[in-house]
Amino acid sequence: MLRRVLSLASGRIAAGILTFIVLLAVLGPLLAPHDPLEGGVDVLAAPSGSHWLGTDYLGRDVLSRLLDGSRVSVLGSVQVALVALVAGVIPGILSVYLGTVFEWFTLRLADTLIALPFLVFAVAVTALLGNGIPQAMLTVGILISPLFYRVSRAATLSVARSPYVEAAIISGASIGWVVRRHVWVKVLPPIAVALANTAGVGFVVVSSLTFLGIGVQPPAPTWGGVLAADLGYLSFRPWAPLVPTALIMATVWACNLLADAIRDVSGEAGRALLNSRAVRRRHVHS
Amino acid sequence: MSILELENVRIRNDADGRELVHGVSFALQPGGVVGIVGESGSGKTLTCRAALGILPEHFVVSDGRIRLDGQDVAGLTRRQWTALRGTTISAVFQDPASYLNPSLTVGSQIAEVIRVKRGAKRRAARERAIELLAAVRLRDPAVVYGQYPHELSGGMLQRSLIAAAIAAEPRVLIADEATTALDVTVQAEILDLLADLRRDTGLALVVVSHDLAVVAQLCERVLVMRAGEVVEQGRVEQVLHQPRHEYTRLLIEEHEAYGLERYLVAS
Amino acid sequence: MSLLEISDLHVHYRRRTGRLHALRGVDLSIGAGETVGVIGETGSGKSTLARAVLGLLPVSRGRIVIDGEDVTRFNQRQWRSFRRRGVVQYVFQDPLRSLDPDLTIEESLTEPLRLQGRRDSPNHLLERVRLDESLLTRLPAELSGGQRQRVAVARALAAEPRLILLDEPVSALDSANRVRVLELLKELRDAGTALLFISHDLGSVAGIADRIAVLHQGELVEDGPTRQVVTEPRHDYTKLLISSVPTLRKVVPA
Repeated sequence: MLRRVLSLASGRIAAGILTFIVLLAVLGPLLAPHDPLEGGVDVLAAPSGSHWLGTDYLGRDVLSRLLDGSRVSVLGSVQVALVALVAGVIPGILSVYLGTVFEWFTLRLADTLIALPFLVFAVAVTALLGNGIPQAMLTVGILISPLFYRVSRAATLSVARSPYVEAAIISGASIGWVVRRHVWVKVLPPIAVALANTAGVGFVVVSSLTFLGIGVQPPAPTWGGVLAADLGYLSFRPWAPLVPTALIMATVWACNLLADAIRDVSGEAGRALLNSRAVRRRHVHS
Repeated sequence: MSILELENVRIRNDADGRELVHGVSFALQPGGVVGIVGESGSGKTLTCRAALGILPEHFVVSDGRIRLDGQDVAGLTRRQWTALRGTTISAVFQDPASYLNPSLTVGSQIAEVIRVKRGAKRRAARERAIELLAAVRLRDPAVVYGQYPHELSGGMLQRSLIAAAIAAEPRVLIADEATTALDVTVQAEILDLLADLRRDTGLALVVVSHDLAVVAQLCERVLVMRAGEVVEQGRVEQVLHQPRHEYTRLLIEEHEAYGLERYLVAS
Repeated sequence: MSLLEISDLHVHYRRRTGRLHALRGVDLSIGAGETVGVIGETGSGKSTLARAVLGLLPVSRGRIVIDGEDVTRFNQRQWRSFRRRGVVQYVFQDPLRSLDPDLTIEESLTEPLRLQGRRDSPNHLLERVRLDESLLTRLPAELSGGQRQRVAVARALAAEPRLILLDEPVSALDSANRVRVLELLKELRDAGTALLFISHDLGSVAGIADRIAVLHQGELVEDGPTRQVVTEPRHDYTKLLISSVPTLRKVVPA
């Protein structure tokens, strides 16, 4: 799958950007030239040799805050995606096999979660469970999980009644066997697409939550937090919000690009695409 | 004079330059019936489509001549083709459901053909459509008129499509695997219907099927096609009694060995 | 003793519009090595019959005994262990959809072997349907329709079944492949495997079946040796079916 995605130009671009972002998340805090929490007398300074992106309203180095905040932001969105994946895909596949009661219950639950207003719910739960990144991301992940539930359920349903699955059942296959051997491969591509999309959405949500001050306590830096601080002092540094915005947008865009690439290469169509490329390549070489 | 005449028709795919039909010739008299037997990929459907002027994109008649009611179709414009289809030549295909709009009633779609092709008024078109539905022996034609495609069985849909195909009183009807997807008893009824239409209205038929027996039942003359080639052509009795090509023999043997024939011979 | 014994079989479907009585009191038995054709048109209940025998849908009334075991009230677990004995196998109508498009031929053929706990390679199965071993690494989409249907037969043979149900096994194939698959099935019959053909077309199974049973609207209206059913049909529906089958004899009197 990965190899097929990388055979597309869009897949390579997306992978490149995401690799850069992940590197930022891993190495960012180490690369920060200043302590991201330490203020100075030099507030709202313009970019200079010692402060490449200037300082914020407390005199803290913006570049350091962005680099340091990248880990929390990226981890947050990954966590959202993982929670949504686990809470959505497993019930989604099982809803086809575990009988009508489970099916009915999970379907109604998914409908309920979809109907809840997103940010309001997140704010409410954080208020209830305390303000912290894990709580906030758990909430967001669960709110997104109906998407994964729907996607995996639809993919499973389309496979469940197919002759080859029945042939396996007639040969004595258990539900577990059928899922591992036949269903999983078909469910994976649409889930990968949904996952890449969700990582993008998760990123926006993490950023907007931290923008609102939910999830991360104020002094700790995040991209959304930096953006919020910048917006408060637009008249002094009108260009400042562009930097965190660009980071957030690039990540979201890369996630969506990756999602499209996965969709393009998965399934019959994808295999045909790859084959035609391989054939063309062989022609070129010979 | 022949109503439909094909003279050494060759069909090529311009996209890759491959020739898919290597010379088909036959002449169909008014009220006559000719059969084409062949499997998918034999070129039988392409041949029919050429006669209807609806070859898929990139496919062209690269050689030979097709004459419809004495007129060479090679120089026809799209507008002229549209005028000919329905009024001179018409067709029914294998999967009737896909040729009807699922969100319109069956009757309204037939009435539309009559209004467009015959310039009839709404009420007259409706009456004529019900007449046609009765002519294809649908029970309760007035009820069927108001029904949607999903409410009808495969056999009823195919009858409705035949009604639509003959609405503008064409002189040639092409039935391309028109009974293949139907139950055997329904297939027999549709074949009877086609034979009766031919007898009563002088409609000339081109019957296309993968099953030699279906074609043999209706036709006087038959073409056996394989991989774009006409391997055998002649009167039905002659083709069945003295098949010259190995492929024709295979088709006959299959019936003899696995079909009902062996019991019928014994009885 | 018969291999498959169906007595007074009733199957209902629950629909929003009410209950649909798909099978009404069907009695049918198949002896070891026997070849039976069940003929029925759309809505006759022939697919329901096959699915009931395979345990894919619940039986409302009656009994199904396979190889001496009453499977009528089997639960999931019992079915699974019974199926792993491999007594009954099924060949589907559509060879395109009966093989997993994401698995190679080898993986598809290995599946029933592994389910039976066997470790051997599937090469011998391809030999039995006269396909070349080089096909093992291919995907179903890279095979012709005839090859795919022979792989499907090979897959059914993996379990060394005593009874194979075949749902219109040749109707999607062209003449040459039809004859080839039918010849293959004849060999199986001669080797002692019982075959149950399910088809809408009497003409397509008359040449291979020892016995013909005719299903009409959920009831078995005729059951007898093929010759007798074809030459002296008793039920009106059977007569209609026989007169409907297009044959070469109507044009060329014997």
